Amino acid sequence: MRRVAIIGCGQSKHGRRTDVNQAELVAEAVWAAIEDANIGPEDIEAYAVGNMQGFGGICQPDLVFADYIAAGGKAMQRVATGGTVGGSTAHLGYYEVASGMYDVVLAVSWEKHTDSAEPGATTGLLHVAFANLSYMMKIGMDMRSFAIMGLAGAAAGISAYQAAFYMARSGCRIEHFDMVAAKARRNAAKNKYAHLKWPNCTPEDIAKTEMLIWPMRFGHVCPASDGASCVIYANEDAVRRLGVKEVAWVKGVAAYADEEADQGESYQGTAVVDYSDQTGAILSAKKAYERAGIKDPRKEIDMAEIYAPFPHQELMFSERLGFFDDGTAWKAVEEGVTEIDGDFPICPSGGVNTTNAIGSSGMQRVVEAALQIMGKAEDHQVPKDVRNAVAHAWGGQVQFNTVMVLGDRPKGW
Amino acid sequence: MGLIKEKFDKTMQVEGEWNIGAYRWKAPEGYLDEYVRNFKERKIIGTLCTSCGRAYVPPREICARCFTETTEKVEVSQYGEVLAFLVSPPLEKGKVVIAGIDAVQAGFLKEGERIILAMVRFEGTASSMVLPLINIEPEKVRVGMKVKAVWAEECQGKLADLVGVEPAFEVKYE
Repeated sequence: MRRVAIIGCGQSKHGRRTDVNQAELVAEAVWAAIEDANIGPEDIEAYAVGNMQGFGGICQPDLVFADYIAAGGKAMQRVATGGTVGGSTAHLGYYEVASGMYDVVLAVSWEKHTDSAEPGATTGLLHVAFANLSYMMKIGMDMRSFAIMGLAGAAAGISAYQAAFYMARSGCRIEHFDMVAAKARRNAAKNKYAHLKWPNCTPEDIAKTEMLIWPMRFGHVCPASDGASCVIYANEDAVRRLGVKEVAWVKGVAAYADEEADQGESYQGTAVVDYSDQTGAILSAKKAYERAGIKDPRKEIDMAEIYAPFPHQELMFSERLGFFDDGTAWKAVEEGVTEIDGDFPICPSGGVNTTNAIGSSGMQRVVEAALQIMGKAEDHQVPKDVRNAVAHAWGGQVQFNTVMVLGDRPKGW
Repeated sequence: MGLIKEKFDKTMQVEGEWNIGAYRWKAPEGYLDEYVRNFKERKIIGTLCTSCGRAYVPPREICARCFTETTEKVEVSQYGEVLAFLVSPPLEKGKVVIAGIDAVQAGFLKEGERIILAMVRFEGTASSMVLPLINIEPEKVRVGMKVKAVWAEECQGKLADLVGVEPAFEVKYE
């Protein structure tokens, strides 16, 4: 396989974007990346695009925006893997260059929640949840059970269950979730693209927010953002030919699916007893590290951008990705290890907990990890030297995972 | 960049209504019908994967670990273990609105009650399920606690027959 580098990164401003439509939002990130790489749209040979299906109310947005991103006359493919889609799209772009099929490929993914009456719900989740619930009503579920199922909500619901599992497994307390959420908001205040900014936010501030369902507070929940993120890949020769100076090399990628957690399709049981197991994340990390030639992730990797819409997921995934032992990440948080100036910074951008344009989120992790390596993360650049960084994405019924290892030099240099 | 957004502060919204009545969702035939039918005899019947020995409750058509059909039925214990749990705050009107219906106002849930949702694994099964945990104060719930199935007074072979779980033993805390 060929060596592949990220030569340009672009993000739209994330938040409530009523000033743009989907095509303009996508174009904003794409043009930012093209300008960042200092190339022209004519240099791009193929487009990998990705979006969570149906969350923004428009089902096939790729039909309308191709013109806005100069994709006419080029190869274009769309990916949809639920919340993981940004990570999967980033992988697709990488595959296309690594395989030798194209030399320069642009990968962009996005979400525009505000076009939907209930962000993410109207067309995205309800057709899953209501279909299942309708079926359960048919086999005799009563209205009380229906209401009880609704207490925990959809995606937040399965995450609340997962948080409870994680607490039972690790022995951490709700205070640790408050600490992680406060860190995310403080970090986001330094990131000009982030949505939910709260300078000097403390765990006590988070603890004052309303308890939705124990152990999940309102202050733990991510916002529904609009946004797009984009990276441009090039092979070694193209990097030289285009005269790009600052790059981040892709050293290894891996993606694994696991079985559905929660009661799966039509209320059937699944073998995932503990939702915080995350076997897919463990397998993805192991394979990606193997491909990247990394033996000791905690020592060789300098920072990580983890897909964690809820604070327990930052703790859980940082363990599954091999940075801390199972059930111990909360101790590292207590010691400040994962702070922006800590020994192992996690989500210095504020992460998905503060900015969640679902389709964009996975790609944004790749963008942020690449920016840290190139030293272009501006106010949220970590003070330590970043040689290797990990970008992770997660989605589906908590079962899809992608891991990408980026470095300041290609594998084997 | 010369995009349209530089000329307008806001995008235009166009109102419209679509009938999506053509939407169909196919549910697997049989498995759960049989599962809930057995509730009439207060029995929990799962499916057994003869390849790996996992018993699934609720039953499952395929074992995703072995990628084999699970055709064998197996009755599992009424006793189980709390693996993890959620506790709702005291319920209020206007807080639980599902599909436009206020569940407290409509009387599905009682005002002021606190719902405990437990992730339970029934003994002998290799899957967990979410059920309401009743007849216990939220403060007394512990991970690892033994629970047993609670059935409706008159079971009719419906999903609602399995009301939830309650502590299997009386728990005393000093």
